Amino acid sequence: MKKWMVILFGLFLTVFGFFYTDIIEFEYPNHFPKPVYDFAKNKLTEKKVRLGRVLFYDPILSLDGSISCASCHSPYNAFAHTDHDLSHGIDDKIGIRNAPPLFNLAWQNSFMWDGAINHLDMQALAPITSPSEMGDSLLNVIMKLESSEKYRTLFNEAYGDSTITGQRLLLSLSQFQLTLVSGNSKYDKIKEGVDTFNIQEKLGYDLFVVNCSSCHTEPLFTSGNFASNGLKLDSTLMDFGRGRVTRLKSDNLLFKIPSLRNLEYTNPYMHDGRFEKLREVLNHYTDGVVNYGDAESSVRITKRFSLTSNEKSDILAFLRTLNDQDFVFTKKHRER
Amino acid sequence: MMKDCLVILFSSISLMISAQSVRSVSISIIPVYKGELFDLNNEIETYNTTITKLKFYVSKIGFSNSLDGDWIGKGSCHLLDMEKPKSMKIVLQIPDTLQVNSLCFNLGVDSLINVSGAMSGDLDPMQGMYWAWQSGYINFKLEGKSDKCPARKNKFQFHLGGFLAPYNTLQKVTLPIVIKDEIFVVLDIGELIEAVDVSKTHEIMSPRSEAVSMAQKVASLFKIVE
Repeated sequence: MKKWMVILFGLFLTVFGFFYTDIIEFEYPNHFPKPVYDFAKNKLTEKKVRLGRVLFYDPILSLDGSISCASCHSPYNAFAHTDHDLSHGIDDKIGIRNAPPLFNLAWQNSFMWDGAINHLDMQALAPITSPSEMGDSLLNVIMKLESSEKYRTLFNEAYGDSTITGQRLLLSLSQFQLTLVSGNSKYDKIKEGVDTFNIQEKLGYDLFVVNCSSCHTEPLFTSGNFASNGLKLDSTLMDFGRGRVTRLKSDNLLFKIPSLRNLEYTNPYMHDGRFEKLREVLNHYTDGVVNYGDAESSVRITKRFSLTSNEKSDILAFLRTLNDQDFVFTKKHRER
Repeated sequence: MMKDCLVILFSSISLMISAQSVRSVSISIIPVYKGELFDLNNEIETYNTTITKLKFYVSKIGFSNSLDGDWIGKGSCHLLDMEKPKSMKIVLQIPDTLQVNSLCFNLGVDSLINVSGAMSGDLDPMQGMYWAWQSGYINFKLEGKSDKCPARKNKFQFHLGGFLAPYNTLQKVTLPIVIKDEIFVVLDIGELIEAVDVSKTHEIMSPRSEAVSMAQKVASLFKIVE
């Protein structure tokens, strides 16, 4: 009798396990376009997201156990690194670029300031193996995770067995990062019809539409393309951006167009963090643009903008409506 | 036991459905050095050369009955690693009645796989055949030492990859065959190293024109053993 009970219970568990899933639906604001990430190939589940979050905050991913993803992508800074112009790595090494904020990655086609990475899943490989970032190798990271009871359990819970592979590690990191959706700023509330711009914000928005929106396309505030905004080449870095990847001269000095969301939390600005304040950025457009002899085009600003000081203040007022406090202050994405 | 029964059950069902018998054909790729067999990490004395690593992808391998047309290839990718002798042999199941006169495969993985995110098995980035700093698979990896090579410790390293024009390194290989149960293909690494001339070129590690021309050379060196 008892034996039958055990068998029945086991059968129940098997059937239950077969049908039970913890798949989470990917949620985003109504006024956002469809994500480009293929969720069918990496269905979000609570346990995989949790595993990704644990990995994201764990310095085990670096060679000497000193640097985690969150070291340069802090939740308090919309996952950027405030006050650091260039990223930091193991052994106090300094990289060549500013750590970009992480949000709305499900809508991003390419990664890094030069777009060298073509898929969110593969992005984490670059910092993990870069000598000036985490300085490790994928195989070594997997070996460290395999020898950890905690991770064997987490992988088992997420994938049904405790095998740790490169694919599972990368897919889990993607899962957590995909949940970093920022779409609850004042601008978003206005789009949803539950708030309105004040007069200065509206003036700033109108100026934004005319001057900025062809690159910083709504509602994500980036077209995802590469462009040059006329920054002077920093001779200490000699960073030619997109041209390094495509080996095309016409792509030299082009960089990924960043989103304008959450700027309050993500200073300094530009691919090399050269500007501390947003007003410096606007001043660059009116007074700093340099022309290296290229023609003005949709991807290359060579002429200076004309904006008055008051107009700049209006634009800044509008940009503040893109700060998403909920995203930065929520505990959901923090280390737990 | 249960699993075995299921496998037998399913394979017999699929055989009944297809209603034709299949045969297994194994394809072994044998690296040689100027026509002679060689071992990894052992100096090939005549040429003062040591091969330390030879890994490459073979994808969409299949047979065709024309020497330049399309072929029936499976989508799966095989990572051939000289360090793992088992990986150097690929077994295909083909219909018994299939009339074929050529063996076809891609040297490398196609562009779709290069843009599709994290993969498993032979395509898992932990296999060491994926570039971390710029997305893309390494289609062919050859490393070693040669007296003629002026680089540090006489080391040469060729990591051939790149899937975007004009530096697409994927190569199609078509070899005329007479179908039999075991097919042997040799790849002459000695010819390759001579053609590349390691006294001048000893490092190719990114998508560029040198990678494309070397990949073309590799593709031309696969030969059927009669």
